[in-house]
Amino acid sequence: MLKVGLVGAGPLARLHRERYADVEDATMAATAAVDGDPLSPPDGATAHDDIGSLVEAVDAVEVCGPPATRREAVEAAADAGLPVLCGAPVAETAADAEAVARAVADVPFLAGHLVRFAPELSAIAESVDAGEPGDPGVVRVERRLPRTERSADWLADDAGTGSVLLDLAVHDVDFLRWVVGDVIRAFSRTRVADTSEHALTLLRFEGDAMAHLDTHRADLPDAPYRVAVEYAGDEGNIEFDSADAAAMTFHGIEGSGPDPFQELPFVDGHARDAHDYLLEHFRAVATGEADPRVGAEDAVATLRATLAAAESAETGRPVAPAEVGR
Amino acid sequence: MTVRIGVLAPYHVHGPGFGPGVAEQDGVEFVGIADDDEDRGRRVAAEDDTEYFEDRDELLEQVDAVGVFAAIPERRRYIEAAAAHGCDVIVEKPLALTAAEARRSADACEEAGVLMGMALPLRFNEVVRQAHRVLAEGAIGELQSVVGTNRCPLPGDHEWIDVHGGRGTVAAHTCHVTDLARAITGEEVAEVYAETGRLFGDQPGEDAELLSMEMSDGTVFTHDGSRSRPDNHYQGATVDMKLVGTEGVVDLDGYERVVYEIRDTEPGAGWNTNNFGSEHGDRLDRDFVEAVRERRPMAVTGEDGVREAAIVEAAYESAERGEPVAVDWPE
Repeated sequence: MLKVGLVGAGPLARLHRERYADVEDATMAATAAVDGDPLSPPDGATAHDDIGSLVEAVDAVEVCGPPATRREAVEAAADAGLPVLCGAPVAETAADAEAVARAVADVPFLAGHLVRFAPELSAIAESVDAGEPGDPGVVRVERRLPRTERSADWLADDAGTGSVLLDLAVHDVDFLRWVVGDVIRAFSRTRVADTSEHALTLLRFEGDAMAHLDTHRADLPDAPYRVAVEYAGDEGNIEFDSADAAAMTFHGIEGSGPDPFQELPFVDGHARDAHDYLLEHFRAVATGEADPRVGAEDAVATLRATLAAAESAETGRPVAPAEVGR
Repeated sequence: MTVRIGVLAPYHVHGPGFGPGVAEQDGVEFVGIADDDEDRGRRVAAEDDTEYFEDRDELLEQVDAVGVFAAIPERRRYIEAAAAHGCDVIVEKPLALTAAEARRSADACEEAGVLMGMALPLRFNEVVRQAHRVLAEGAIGELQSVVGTNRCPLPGDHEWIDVHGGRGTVAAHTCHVTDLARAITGEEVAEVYAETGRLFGDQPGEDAELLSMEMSDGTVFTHDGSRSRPDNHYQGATVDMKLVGTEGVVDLDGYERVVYEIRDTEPGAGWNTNNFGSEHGDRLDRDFVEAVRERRPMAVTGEDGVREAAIVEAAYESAERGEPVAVDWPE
């Protein structure tokens, strides 16, 4: 039984605290936070005032506090020789991300880029991998999430240019790097209002393919979530739209049925999603049964490409990932 | 009064059939076709069941208005000839590959006192008009951004490439959606950044196009005009737009109002889509004839043609220079 320590106390930490109950051969054994109070631990687990004492009590560490605090937690876990799962992005700056990569050089490390574990996106990646659509041409990714469900409390006060890119688009950049390749430049424009944050980003890749990334955070109760992908290759297209993929829908009179912001309840409490597959994979990585599907090198490259988009949105110029932070 | 129309140089795919389509209206006579390429002119005249005029001036003497469908670099020559004979003109898009060239064509018409319009039927698309109303009513709050596409399969033959003067999809597929965005917002495109490439086929000219634009009021606007659709796609070409406002989002699909037909047997095996209920092509034809008859401007004017040629020119310049380019046109 793998004993996992959880560092962080935000929404992601709270969600994963519950999800470990469904992971075979793993248990949530301890909690801590870099800043502030640790999450209240599940039955049988312990809460720690500092990471130093947490690493003494566990076999592996998941880091999912605010990105600016992740480097410190990852370094503490890696120094203790423990396998690490670190939420994405692994840091806020390229320099910190590179420090994370150096720190975990000798321990099993999994970057928590959830898209690599999302069943629908994995299905696309499999088709691409099999060469079905041919060489990549133009890939379009659209993602919309409610503002009320910011994945991170630490961004709640930041309505600046970067947040919709660094908090949301970073995952789609990772997906695009997975199915297309390395980004050579980004050009992004963003519109931020009290009720809506919208980023439209063009990416260009090694080998000449390009992508259109449409990332939007707004509270639209009729259609709170949307993920749509169109992968156009020189031999065919692959398309996915969450609006078309609803295998079960509910229509009721006002006041009946599920909260529209909640997914429909499944028998075992929730639909198995990317979080479950991520944590199961981490269990296998930590015990040496699997190689990490996405490691530190990818985490750094994805962050650099996302920061290039954010820098482009600020400067109005195309920015290369290699230029970021110079 | 009967409006007498002609067609000049029916090279672009919208040229053949234009005359008979317009002449379906009452009080319209399709007089004939003139074309410097005699073989092409005679062929299309036979297809369209009309007369071929060896002497272009002879046709222009007999008509009130013409449609010009020449290759882009040839368009101004035909427009000037029509204007010199006092004929009103409707032109395939884009008017030209540069704003300066487009301005000369528009000026020729203005100086001759003839009307000039652009053959952009989507202005009349019912879904687009509804979106315009929704925006005007403030249903999505303040407009923040516009996401548009006008994608299609690779063109089937090389004529289609030559008609764009050796240029690809930026010339062919930028105007529809930029015209709609300009019409819906009442703003001009101020700056363009373009990523272009040849990623889907081996024909001359670019076949992939992503544009990131800023409009004069700060609205962000992207456009995808790539030839990225497989021939077997169930939908074929797209014209879709998303309008993102501070209080809501409107998704619109200009070709969504369709009946699907799926066949196992030829001809037409596979997915087929039959559009219904928009009739934007017919409305464009009616607007053209009414404008000529009533001496009032067409819905999309030569001035629009100049602005949109300027966007095309700036997009090519941006792709060349790898940086955003301000959109500029001579007054």
